[in-house]
Amino acid sequence: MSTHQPARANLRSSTPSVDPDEVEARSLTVVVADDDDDIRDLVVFKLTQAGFTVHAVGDGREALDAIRDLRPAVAVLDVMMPGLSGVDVARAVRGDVLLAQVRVILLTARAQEGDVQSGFAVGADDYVIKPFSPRELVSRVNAVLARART
Amino acid sequence: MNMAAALLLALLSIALLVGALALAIVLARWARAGAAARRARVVAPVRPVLLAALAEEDPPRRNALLHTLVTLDSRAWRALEPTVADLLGKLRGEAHTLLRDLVDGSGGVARARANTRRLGAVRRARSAELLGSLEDPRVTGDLVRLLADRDPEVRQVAARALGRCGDPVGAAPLLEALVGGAVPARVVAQALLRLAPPAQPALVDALRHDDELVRAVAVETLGLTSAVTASRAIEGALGRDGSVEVRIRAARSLGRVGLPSSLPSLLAATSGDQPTALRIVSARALGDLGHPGAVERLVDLLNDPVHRVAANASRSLTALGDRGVAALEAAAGDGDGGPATAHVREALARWRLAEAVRRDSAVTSRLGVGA
Repeated sequence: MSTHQPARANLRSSTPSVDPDEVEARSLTVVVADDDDDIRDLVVFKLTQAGFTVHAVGDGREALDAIRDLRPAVAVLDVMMPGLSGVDVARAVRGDVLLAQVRVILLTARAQEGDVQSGFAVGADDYVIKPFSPRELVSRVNAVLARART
Repeated sequence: MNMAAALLLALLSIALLVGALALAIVLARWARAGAAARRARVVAPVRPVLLAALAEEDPPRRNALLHTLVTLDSRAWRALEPTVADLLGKLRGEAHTLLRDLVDGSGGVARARANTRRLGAVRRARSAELLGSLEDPRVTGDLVRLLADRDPEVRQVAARALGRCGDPVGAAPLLEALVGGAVPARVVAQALLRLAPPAQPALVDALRHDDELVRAVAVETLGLTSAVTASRAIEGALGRDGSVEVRIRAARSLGRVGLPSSLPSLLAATSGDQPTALRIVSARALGDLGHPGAVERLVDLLNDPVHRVAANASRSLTALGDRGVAALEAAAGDGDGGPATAHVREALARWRLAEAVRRDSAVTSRLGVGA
């Protein structure tokens, strides 16, 4: 089930772990960032059900902290969030060599399709447009993980 | 009563009035916060059931959860309904179908349809919003009726809801709502964009409408939805419509649709006897069309006395590939330093800059480095 845990604020990507067990656990961790409680909880529910360990946050700043602390396999980021936007977080992730293995999926409203281009420009791996199918989102997460392994 | 006493009484009355107003505001906020807290308490135990139902893959288990939700008492359902309505607009696929079944099964659709006839505008608008999110053609008639609502906000909500509803039957009434300004053109156009391409036949029919605004919105929407099958009708609007505004939008649409067969119509629209505004847009549309057969005409237009026609012609040449760029470079070399040469050099400079940015982006992408 979900470890809906708070970010470990003291850990930073500047202190990477080399413990192989942690690497294995991390490969199944997903950070979900969305300021919409209903959508965030639904995505957490669905990904947890699919076997992932999910860490949920409500804004971009917390998302970046969580990604740096947990170094998840995938980060699902809403584009429109208070603090940092999903695109800003994706840019920061791609700018940090220690987070090179983190796959980024952007969640964006149909009206913000221009953001998709910005997202890809800063290195996002995939995007899902709202309204979205929770099942499709899980498929996209699995797909980016499969691409990362090949 | 002397003057001072009257003044004191007036000040006292004002102070009392302000105090009463402040008290009323505080009480209203307190009541609203109390209602929200009560709603949160009622929702807390049923919200996880809703999320579990939306996430559940196994049909029997999903149906069992759905049954639990459908049989909620009316107080719990009223508290949960805003969450359901909110999620309806954000989800699709099986999750959306489940929410729709839930609203239907709990009597929410019938209630919303009845509420579209209530006195309160907020209630009518909220019902229209919910009905649109259902994406159910059964409610198209209710939403069409609300396009003629006495409240302008309700009419706009109904127009947006018709777009979300996805039923192409809504296209003709939406276009009709433009007549007399019942609904703003921007709102109608966005709703129509959601309905196309199934709504394209209604848009083509609207090109014969008496109202200029209806024809203009229809032809613009056809272009924005890349209505290839409607290209002949759009060409007809460009060549024969009595309104310059409609013809301008038709030229822009033909560029967006991008069919080579539209080249002669667009070339004709750039000729000197056509309205200046149409020639400006057509010179740009030839670039969007991207047909190399436009090179010769665009080179001629570089010396057009109308500044914006010449500027658009030079920009369009850069969009026509090697032939267009070669023609521009030749024109830059032959130039006499007049206005045409300036347009040509500006277009070439823009093109070279865009090429450099594109090359840099490609290198950045290959290296996997963020911008």
